[in-house]
Parts: sequence; structure tokens; C-alpha cells
Amino acid sequence: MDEKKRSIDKAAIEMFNILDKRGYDNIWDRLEAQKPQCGYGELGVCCRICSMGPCRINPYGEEPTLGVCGADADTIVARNLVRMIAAGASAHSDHGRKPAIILKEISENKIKDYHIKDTDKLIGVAKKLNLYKEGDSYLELAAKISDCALKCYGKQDEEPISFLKAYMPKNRFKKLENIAESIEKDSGMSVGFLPRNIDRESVDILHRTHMGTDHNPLTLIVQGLRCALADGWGGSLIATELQDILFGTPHKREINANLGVLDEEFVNIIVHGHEPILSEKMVEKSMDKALIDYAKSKGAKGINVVGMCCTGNEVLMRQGIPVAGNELHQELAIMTGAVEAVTVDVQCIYPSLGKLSECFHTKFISTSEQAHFPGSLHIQFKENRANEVAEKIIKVAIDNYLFRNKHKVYIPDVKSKATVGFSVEGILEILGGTLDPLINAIKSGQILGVAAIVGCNNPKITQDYFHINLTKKLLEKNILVVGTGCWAIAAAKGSLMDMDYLNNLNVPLKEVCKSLNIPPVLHFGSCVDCSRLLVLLSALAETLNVDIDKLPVVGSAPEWSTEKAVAIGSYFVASGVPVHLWPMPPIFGAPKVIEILTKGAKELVGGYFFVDGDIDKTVETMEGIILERRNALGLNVPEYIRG
Amino acid sequence: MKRIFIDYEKCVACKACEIACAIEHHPDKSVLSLVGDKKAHSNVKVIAVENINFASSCRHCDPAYCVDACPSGALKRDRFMNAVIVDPYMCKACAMCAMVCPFDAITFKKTYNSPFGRDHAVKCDFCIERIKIGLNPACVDACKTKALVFTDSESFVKSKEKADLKSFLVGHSKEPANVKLFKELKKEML
Amino acid sequence: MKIVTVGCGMAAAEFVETLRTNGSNDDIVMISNEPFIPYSPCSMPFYISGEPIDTVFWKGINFYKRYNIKTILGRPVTNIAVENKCVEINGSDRIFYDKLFFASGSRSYFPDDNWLNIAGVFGFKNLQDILVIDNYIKSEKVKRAVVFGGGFIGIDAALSLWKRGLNVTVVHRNNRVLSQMTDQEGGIYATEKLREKTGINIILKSVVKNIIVDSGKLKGVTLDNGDSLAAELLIVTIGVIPNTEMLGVNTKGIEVDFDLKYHNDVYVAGDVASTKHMITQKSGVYATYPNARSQARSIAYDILFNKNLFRGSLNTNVLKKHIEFPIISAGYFEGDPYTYCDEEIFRRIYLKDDQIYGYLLVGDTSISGFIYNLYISQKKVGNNIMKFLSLKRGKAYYIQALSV
Repeated sequence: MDEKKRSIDKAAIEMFNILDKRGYDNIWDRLEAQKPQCGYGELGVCCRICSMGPCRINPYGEEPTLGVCGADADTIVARNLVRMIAAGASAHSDHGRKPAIILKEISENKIKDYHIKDTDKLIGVAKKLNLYKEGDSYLELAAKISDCALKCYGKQDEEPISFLKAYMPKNRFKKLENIAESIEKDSGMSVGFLPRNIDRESVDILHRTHMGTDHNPLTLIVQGLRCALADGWGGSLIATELQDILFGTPHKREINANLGVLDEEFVNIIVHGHEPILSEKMVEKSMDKALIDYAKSKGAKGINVVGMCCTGNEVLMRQGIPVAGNELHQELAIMTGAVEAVTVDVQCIYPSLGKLSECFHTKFISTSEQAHFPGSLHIQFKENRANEVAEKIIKVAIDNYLFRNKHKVYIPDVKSKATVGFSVEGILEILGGTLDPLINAIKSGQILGVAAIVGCNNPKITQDYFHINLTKKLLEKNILVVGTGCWAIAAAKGSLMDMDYLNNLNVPLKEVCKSLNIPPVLHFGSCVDCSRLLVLLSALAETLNVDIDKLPVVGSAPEWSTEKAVAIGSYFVASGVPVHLWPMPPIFGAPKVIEILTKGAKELVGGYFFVDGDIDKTVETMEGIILERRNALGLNVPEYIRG
Repeated sequence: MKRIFIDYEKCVACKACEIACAIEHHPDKSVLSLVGDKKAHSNVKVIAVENINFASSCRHCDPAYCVDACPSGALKRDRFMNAVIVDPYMCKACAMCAMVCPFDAITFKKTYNSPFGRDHAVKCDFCIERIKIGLNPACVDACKTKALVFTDSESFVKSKEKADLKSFLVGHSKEPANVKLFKELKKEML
Repeated sequence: MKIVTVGCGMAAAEFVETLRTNGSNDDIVMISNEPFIPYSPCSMPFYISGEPIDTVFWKGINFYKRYNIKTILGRPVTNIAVENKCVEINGSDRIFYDKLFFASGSRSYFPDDNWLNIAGVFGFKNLQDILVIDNYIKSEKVKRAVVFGGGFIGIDAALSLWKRGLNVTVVHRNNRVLSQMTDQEGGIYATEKLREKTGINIILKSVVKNIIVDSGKLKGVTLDNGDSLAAELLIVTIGVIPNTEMLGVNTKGIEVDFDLKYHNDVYVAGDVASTKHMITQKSGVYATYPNARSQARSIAYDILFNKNLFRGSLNTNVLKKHIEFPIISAGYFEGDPYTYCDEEIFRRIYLKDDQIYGYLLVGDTSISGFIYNLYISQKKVGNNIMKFLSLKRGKAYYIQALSV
């Protein structure tokens, strides 16, 4: 494939020379080999749910129009879509379960390798959940919070989960309750938007999408949104909040991003995946003098732990660890020939890494009981032996340094400075303890609105092209851009988070950022940290005393690829935020589903999806949404737009 | 004379034709036997050009460059369907045929029909044995959107002309709006 | 009408078949010094590598009977008197004709005629050679063979001997094998591929100077650099000589125009014909099957319908037998080169005035037919060519068709 079509990242383009010359297996070639991809799958009209199938619906309106059981295109597409949401929400929420269990075990003194690092946050979360009592010890608070979190996964009553109740703005909560009631009144069908139990909402989806159960695209999608809300205001939120308690709430800091953070003279270890639990320990142990000396005894100058994807984001946010790249960099990083070990936990890790690592000395180390890969060296991680496992992995990497083939080493000299580490707490600190400066800037039009963008890469889209250009163009429209995941790494690599980037801007936003000493593009963390964006929206809504669907905010998931992205997009929509998607979700075989997601949802929940592959048109639509909402709030149209 | 035609507007690139062809040309006639079998082969290939997908295979040209190029007596024209057929017993895999076929419809492979344990020219055989007993070619039967049709060439051209004229006069094609939207969006992909 | 062919090779067989399938009831006589049913030189190396003999008879073993042909086989034509319309056989028998199709083929060239008398030294040009080589390998339990000359026939021979399990060395004068059908870089790429993917030993920039003989049998060869190689079999493939002496012509082929006529009622085709090139118009012997076929058919049509179809010959060729990386070439390597190259594929196209002047494709066949058609149609291609050069699947035709 044409190199410019594969990526706009400078380091990636350098690596393509090596990739093309040596012919390493890679994701772009594999995509090419898959083409053309099955249109039934692209349209979402393929059903593999039961063994009377697989069934496919003729998208051209001719026979066959029904599956063997009689399901039509709308049922099949809706079922497939909500199953994607269930899988995505499960990935986030299962991630959130782990810090909850660790916090509980800390409170019970059952675990020695982890501690409560951020007691302010502990108190803050306890207060938010209404669990704080003067005189409680930290361990008592930890016990209450972890119990509360775990109950969100395990309780069996019909009440909404307590994290959502505590964090969601009242107006939104009430609105979601009301819509469910009005649907019941109009149609006689009982539905619900407010999640009762994080795990249950996914199980509910698996149940109702079982053959012969729910065939109504509306009720299917409503349950999909409920499950997504259980992710955003449940599993992901618990992950973020409890990880902050365990590892510290992020604060503004500067890091470097891109393959240039690998260091030829050091033992390079990449931590890749999504969780901070092992990677925090890896970072900690890489500073251990004995291990550094051991690395030196093998001829290296030291140990260089760098991040990748959302594990990278976790350690970047809290520890300032440099990040080697986003999703499409994972194979390229190994191709530098300078990586002693890629240590992975869960999610978005290509199974191709095993075979690719065999072309180099690189050890591809899997650690999670849930994630196994062909050709990986499995070193089982256990929370109660975290120090020992981290040390072992680092030793394997150091021992492997001697096997590095110097002739195969090529590290692109490409890295960008980025100011990162924004949490809601951090923002409040910067703003002086209140959101008012931000709200005032929005009211006055110094900031037109806020766009929240979330990651992934997708080889179908030129890597980072949509991320970077969409972000740049939104800034030109004076829209503050915040976001997470692989988008955030793209923005960091693209120098958009470099304070110097402000000099390229010629909009009022520039002055706001300058006075606050923040970049115009704010890194809010990993993909579970989209919950931080919800918390931010919640705070804005509460301060203004409006529902989120009135705020001049808009979301986007350009370059999305995973089921998690579908869940994230869906909880933003259900929370009242219009969300742009690109590439196309597999729904276009079903006219009713398209109608519900792009139009019906707006009337019901205020948020909705729109799909666009054209960056300029996307920006136009996003600006339009913000202006429409400003108008509804009675905010002025700033002069620079009128002119 | 009946021929296989492709309506590329209807091809969704599901590759059901590829699988059906491979099953038809496998001695076990079973999809399970295809798994991991290096001797299995499909004579039809779904390809994508820009945003158009279609099943591509031998067009059984007449006259055919490949037949004229064959120096070993392996490529012959069948009398029943006027199809271009390979005789693996005579084929020496010299590639003279592939060298001149503009459609890249001939490949070389060791198959269950290889008499000498080596590769030979492999191409569409029109499923002649199926046609003889009144069936359609396997790929045509597998196509669920009727993108592949097995019909008399004249009547196909006429029906196509009629459909095109109709959509021209009435001003719309039969494509549902959601599919049109999908195709428009897909154009924006790489 | 009495139609006589001198030769019963591919051109003659094609000629006769075209006559008969187009309704000719004329008397047809085929004369050849070879005693065989028409066979395919393309197929015959496979007999050496172990495949059955009937597969070389490409038009079927009942060819003569099927087409009602009189044959005079195993007897050489010694003279042709064109004014008398008479073919002389063995210096005595005379056959008169109304139309003569002259396609007597060619024979191997030997640097030293004495080599012909040594057991174990053979050409690789006709079925007789193949049968004798096969016998000799069996009876003498041959293990080592040297092929002198790494042109198309030499490599074809070497591959079949290698497939049979012999230890094979190719000795070639140039810096790469297949030097006539490759340019420098592509030829070196193809040579390396042959070395890498077969067990054939290739010695370049060398010639066989002498042969080592013991009791009338070959024991080895010495090269011009003084090295010697032990071998029980030497195949000499350094060139061919057209069999034109009986027409009293002693040149490199009989030069003919598009009508393929040497004389009023004498047509020539195949390895003896020096024809015009379809693209360059240069005269030469373009000794491949597709040319023989188009010449033969054109002559048959001329006789039957007074219609001339011949538009010139092409120097296309492909070597793929026994190997999985075809080496395809056509035209001349002059003009602006456009190249795509990776681990498995080397493709180069030469353009002159935005038209293809020559090409070389090594590794697969996926764009070869598309390029062939661009070449023979001489369509303007311009810089678009790079778009097609890296394609891996059969999309080229459709990309072009849909881009217009």
C-alpha cells in the first residue's frame, strides 16, 4: 500500500522502509489480503446466533429478506450491534472490577504489594458516594468504596447502580427515568435506561439477543444504551476513580511521544494493553537500583520502560512515562529491533506480535489469565505477587539485551513533546478550584464549545490522519478538544499537545490556554478514562443547572475499530452528546436501526450518532451542533463567527 | 449459449462463490474438508477495485488467447458449453496461457486432479458436470444477492438494457436508500 | 490439390489441423526425417523427469489417422526443386506438390563435431535426443550432468535433469543465465532465484573448452578457466541451426514477408522462418510456439480462403516448467525502465513514447497477461504503469477498464 495511505506519522513512515524492504508481516498487508471484505458483515446483516444459520439478508430488498427463524434485517443488525456494546462494556467493566477487588483486599489487609496512594481522592470519592464519615480510617473508607463498587457489579435489585446515581447530573438521571416511563405509557413496553447492575446489563443483552427473544430494534437499542451507561457511569468510572486512589490522580506533566522514546543504549521494555496494575509495578521496579545495576552488568546503560496504547496512557498520566505509540505502532515498535520485551495485559494487542517477535530477539510476554497469544512467553501475573512478577519480567528483558542484533536496530529519531495528565481534579486545580473560568470562557465565546474525541486506530483509515486533522480543524473553529485513548497518543505524537502549538492558533481559545498554561488539546487518559469526560460534563451541567444534552459539547470516534468504542460512543449518546463515527458501523443494512440511531435517539435522549468520512463536513456538523446548543442556552454567537 | 454474468452493483463481496467453487472442486464436496487443505482451490476470486466488488473468473473467451498459446495440448474447447477446459494430464504448467490472459484467470496449483504430483493450470471449468444434469454452476447457486447469474447472453444483455433504461427514465435505481447511503459513505474510505 | 509439409513439428501439425478443421479434403503428405507422431518440444523434457511419453504427443496419438494424412517418416528430405514443385527424399524418391509448407525445424549447434561421436554428449532439440538421453541415464546410471549453455533450452534441460535427481551444473558464457530474454538486473535476479530455489549449480562467465573421454564415453569437461568437472552427461545447448540446406539456403533462417512465402507455392514457418516482428518490424527467427501457430494458421487460411492473417511475430517467452517462479519476457530492453521489486517479484517495463517496448516479469503471472495485451496493442500507458506494477492479484485489467 502507498505509504502515505498507511500513516501520516513520521516515525511510521520511516519504519515502512524497513517493513517493505524486509517484508515483515504487518496489519496493512493483512487488511489488503482480506479485501474485499464481506458486504453482509459490513452491512451487519449476517446472523450467526443460532445453528439454523448462518443467515444473510439480501440488502437489495429481494429474497432472502428473512433469516431462518424469521428475523429481518433490522432485528439482525440491532442484535449484532447491541452484542458489540455488551462486549465493549464488558471489557471496560471487567477492567474496573480489578482495582475494586484490590482496594477491597487492601482494606482487609490481604494484599501487600499495593497501597492507597492518593488519600485525597479516596476521601473525595467517598464523599461523592455519600459514604464519608468524619473519623473513618483510610482502610475503612477503602472498604466502603470497594464494597459500593463491587455491589454495582453484584446487586440484584432494580435500583440504578450507586456510582451512576452519585455521579450523573440530576437532570440527566431524571430525564432517563422519564423517557422510560413515557415509552411504557405510549407502547405498553417496559424499558429502562438506568443500569441496575453492571454485569447484568451485558447478560441481559446476551439473553435478549438469544434466538427467539427480543426482535424489536427499539427495545434492543434501549437495552444497548443501558448497558453502555453501565460502562460509562459504572465500570469505566470505577476503573478510573479507583485506579486514581491506588496509583494517584493525574496532574499536568510533560512527556515525549513516538518511537524515538526507545533508547538504543538501554534495555527497552514496552508495556502495552490497557491496565495500570502490572505496568505501575513495572515502572516502579525499573527504578530499582539492583535491577539497573543488573542491566548495566549486561552492557546497557539502564532500563527504559515506555508505554503503548492505553497501558501507555495509564503510566503516562500518572508517572510521566514516555509513550512509544498508539495501536498501529505496536508492530512497528518491534520492527525497530531495539525492544527487549513487550509486556502485555489485555485488549487491543495484536496476536500477530508473537510471530513478528520471532524475527527479532524481542520477547513478547503475556501476563493476564484472560489474554493468551500464539508465540508469547506467558509469565502469569498475580496481584499478590506483583513485585515478584514485575521483577521477573524485567530480568527476562535484561537477559535478552545480549541477544539484540545491532544490524537489525533502527529507531526513528522522531518524538514530540506533549503536556498531558489532565483529570477533572487537575483541571479544577488549574482553574483555581472552580469551573467558573471555563464556564465563563464558554459563555463569552472565548471558547465556542468542547469536542471530546476518543481513540483507536484502524488500518482502513490512514493512521492518525483523521485524528490530527479533525482536531486541528476543530481548534481553528475555536473549539477546545479533549479526549483519550489512541486519539490522545496521536495528538501527542502530532505535537498538538506541545505548548508551542498554541502559536499556530489564531482564535480566542489561544489566549485562554496561554493564561492557564495549558495546551489547546487535553489528554484525559486511557479509554476507560472517558469516564473523566463524563465527570467533567456532569460538573459543567450541575454548575449550569442544565442537562448534558444542552451543553455545547460534541463527541467523535474517528478511526474507531473496537467494540469498546461502540460502547463509549453509545454512553455518550445516552448521556446526551451527539457522536460522530468513522469508519462506518455495521448497521447500514437496517433502515430502522439507522433511523433510531441517527434521528430517533436525538428526540429520546438528546444524543445521537452521525457517520461521516469527510473531515471538513464533520467539523461543519460539529460546529453546527455546538452553535445550535449555544443558541438554545441563550449564549451569544461570538463576533469572530458572525464576521 | 448460456454464460455466467456478474451484476457488480449487487456483489457484496461475501465470497460465498469462492467457497462454493472450492467445495465443488474438492473430492469430498464438503466445506469441512477445505480447512487447511492446500490442494483445495477456487476458480473464482472476489476482487475489489475502488469501491466496486465483483467475482472475477475465466470469461471463456472465443477466440481465447490462452487456448492459442498452449503448446502442450492441455487447453481445449469443450463442445457442450464452448468452455475453455484444462486437461491436467497434458498440462506442463509452462505458463504460456497465463502469460497472455488479461484477466489473470489462470493460476497454477497442485490439486486433487494433478496426475503427476505437481502443479498444473487451474481455471474455471464452468461446472460442466453440474450443467449436464440441469444444475447451475456452483458459484451462481451460492450467490444470495443474485449478483452472479447463469443465463443466455442475449437475454441478459436485453434485461440489463431494459433495467438501465427504466432507471434512466424513472430516475431511480432499485437500490434501497440505506444501501445507497452505505455505498456513498464507503467511497470515502481508502 | 496436393499439399506437402516438410517437417511434422508444431508448425506443420497446426497447419494440417487448420486445413482439416476448415474443410480441406486435399491430399496431404507430411515428410520428416523424424519417425514420430507430432510432439511438443515444450512437453518433452517432462519425459526425462519421469512423466509418460504419451503426454508429449500434444495433438493426440491418432493424429495422422484422424486427419487422413499420408506420411513419409524417418527419411530426410535432401533437396527441393521449387521450379518443378518437387521434394526429393533420400536423394532418390520424388514427391510433387501443389503447395509446400516448409517447416523443417532446427538442430543443436555443437562447437566441435567430434563431440557428436562421444557417448554421453547430446543436444536437447528433438524427441530423439530425449529418448537417447533417458536411455543413457538409465543404462549408465548417470549421476552428474553438465549443461553447456544457459539459454532457454539449456535451463529447460537442466531443470528436467535436476527434477530427475541428477546433480546438474549449468555452464554459461554470460554474467547471467537466460541472457537473451533478460536485461542485466532482471537476469541476475532470475539467476539468483534459480540458484536459491533449485539445486542446480550455475557457473557463469565460463564455457566448456574440452571434454574428458575414456573408452569413448564422457567422463567430464574442462572449462576455459582450467577447472574440470566430472560428469557422465553433457547437454550442449549453446545454439540452434535452422534446417534450411535442402532449399539451398545457408543463412540464419529464410527471410519472408507477412505473406510467409519463399516462392509462389512454397511457404515457410516455424524455426526456419525469419519473419517480421509485430512491433519493431525487425526480421528474425522468433522460434516459439505461438509464432509457429500463427504462421501455420495464416498459411492455411491463405491456401483455403486466400486470406492472410499474419501480423508479425513476437519474441515473448516464459520459463516456468518445474519451478514456481515464472520468468516472463517480451520485446526489447530499450527505453525508459519502470521497476517494481521485492523479495519474491521483479517486474520491469521499458517504455518508448509511452508505449511498452519490452518487459521482464519474474516471480508470478498475475499482471503478465494484462501487460502482454498492453504490449501487443501498443496502447499509450505513460506514468500509469507504476500503478499496475506492484499489484498482487488479478485486478490490473479491471482497474484500467474502470478508470477509463
